Amino acid sequence: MKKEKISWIPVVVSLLFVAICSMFVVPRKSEALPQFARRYNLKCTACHTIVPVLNEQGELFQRLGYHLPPALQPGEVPRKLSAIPEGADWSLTNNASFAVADFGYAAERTTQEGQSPMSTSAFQVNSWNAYFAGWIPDTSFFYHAELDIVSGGATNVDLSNACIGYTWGTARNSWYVVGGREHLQVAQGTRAAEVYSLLPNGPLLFENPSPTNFVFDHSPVGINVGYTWISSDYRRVFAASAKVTNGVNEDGSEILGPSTRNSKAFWADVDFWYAPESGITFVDYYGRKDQIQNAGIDSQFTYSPYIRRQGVFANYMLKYKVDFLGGYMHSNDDWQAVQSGPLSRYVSNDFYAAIDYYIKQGFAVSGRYDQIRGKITGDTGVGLQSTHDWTVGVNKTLTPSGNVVGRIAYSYLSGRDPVGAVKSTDKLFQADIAFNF
Amino acid sequence: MKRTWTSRFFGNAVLAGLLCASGAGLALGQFRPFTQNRDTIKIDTAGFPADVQRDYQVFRGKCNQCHGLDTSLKPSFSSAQWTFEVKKMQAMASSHFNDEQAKAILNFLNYDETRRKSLNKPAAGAVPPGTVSAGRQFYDAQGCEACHAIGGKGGSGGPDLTGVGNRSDRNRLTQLIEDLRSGKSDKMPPLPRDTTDDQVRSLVDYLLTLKGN
Repeated sequence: MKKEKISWIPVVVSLLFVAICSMFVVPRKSEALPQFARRYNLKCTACHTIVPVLNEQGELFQRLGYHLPPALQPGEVPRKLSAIPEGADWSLTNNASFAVADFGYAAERTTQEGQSPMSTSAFQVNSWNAYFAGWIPDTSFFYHAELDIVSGGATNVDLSNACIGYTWGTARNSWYVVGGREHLQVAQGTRAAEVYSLLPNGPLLFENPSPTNFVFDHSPVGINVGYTWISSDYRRVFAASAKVTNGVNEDGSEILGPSTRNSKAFWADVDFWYAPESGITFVDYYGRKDQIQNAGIDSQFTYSPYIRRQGVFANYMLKYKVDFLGGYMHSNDDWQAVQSGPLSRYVSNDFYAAIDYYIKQGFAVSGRYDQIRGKITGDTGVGLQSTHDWTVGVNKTLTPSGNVVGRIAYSYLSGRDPVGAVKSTDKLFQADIAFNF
Repeated sequence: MKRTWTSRFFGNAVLAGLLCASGAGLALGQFRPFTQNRDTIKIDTAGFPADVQRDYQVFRGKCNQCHGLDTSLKPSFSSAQWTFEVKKMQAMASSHFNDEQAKAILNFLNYDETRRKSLNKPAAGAVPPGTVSAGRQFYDAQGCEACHAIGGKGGSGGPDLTGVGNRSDRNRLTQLIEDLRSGKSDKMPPLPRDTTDDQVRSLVDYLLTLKGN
């Protein structure tokens, strides 16, 4: 029987291409909370290697409900979290930052099989955010809200994070529970599992939209619980977290209100810091979403694929100068090409490897290689396809506190999408300066 | 999707509101844009012994990561107090210094204490300009301001003492300071063993005057 040509391929491919290009044209916003530095009378580099990448203290600061991780000496009775000093008295500017902004220049050239190459260049305000976060005085509650005002050059007000949490226990054995909207994976993992990077974009396996319109780095609404155990002198840290959240819509955006998508998504993360600034993380995600296939044409239909992700990430920091990072994520999503046709799968094995070399405090050069290797199984698939991305960059703090960071980066992406095997390339140069104020 | 006039207005109104809030914060003097970590004390190591010059470089490299160098160069501590402080810093997450580096840092701090800081200390019994009592003089000499704030001035490593005279009493404060003198407390650096009863009493007298106004 003659195999019928699938007519929806160009539509899906075009959407995927635009999604990939959009991701690279819009550098990540900076995610530093300068109010913490003000409240605790510290520099940004107390909790960040270079903003926004967190060091071990910064990761633990968030896990301890914004209590500054205290000194933990052998034989010392650990203090209750509620007894750890709060820092300066509560004030608006110790709990809010109104100008966390990023300005930059980007020049990009994209090619795609069957289409004319396209070049763009622009100066733009990449992002402008306001943050409200801190520890509520005399309680064990904490809160975090992020108001995105400008994203990718456009004014688009969005409350992308808004959550309230409660923490209890001691500095060495602590629990937290958080409810609201927050990143799926930020400061809940060791450094290789962070979606933030010294480079403008996080690892591709976190940021790349799958053919099922799912991006691992998103901010769902739900409940998050976690436990942290810390040895004396912070030699070993064990942490575990779990979330139950709303899933995402057909287009990959987060479900923020009442929805007929009643099933919930589950995420679990286990971390172990085995050496100073070095750790390993295991992640598991399971959810279900609606997916529109063949959008806009007669054969359009909706089905509900399960979304599965399992990943392992690890980093080792050598002499506090060189950070070796790597991550692997396996994707296994349901895939249906034709209504009432057989169910196949989108399967992908993605990884990245990166090196950050800190020439001195506040000055680093970075390089990363990302690879996405995925295929649609069954008769409708076009076989295993790969996308490769090489990125290099330089970061330098421009102030003693570390709250202003300049960065230059170049990336070269090349590959074929797993649905239509259409080849595309993307060369992107970015220079930006981030203000955290 | 074409943005409506309403959504554009809302977006601009939020932006204007946040800018006004920033301005209000500045006007009310609540905004300290990172000046708290500015290094005002300059050290000339030219006349230092070679090993102390090396120790100073370790101090500069390590202690500058989380806070400005003034945090360590301003307060005046005894050798026992500096040992306590450096051990505490080494036991913090992301401190990034080993025992050898801790020894170097301590060596520099003790050297600085006996050279630069001892020249700046007021003579025994003298009341420096601006102090109101012997208790305030003792408070300053022990470097309590490094961790405690009064009236918005000072550090944040320990509780704010602005209204301590309202929330504590003589017995509690005396017991706390006695514990520091005897080395029983692990919450703060110990006081020198030769701290006199008069000094303890005058420090308590001073703290009880702090009523938060």
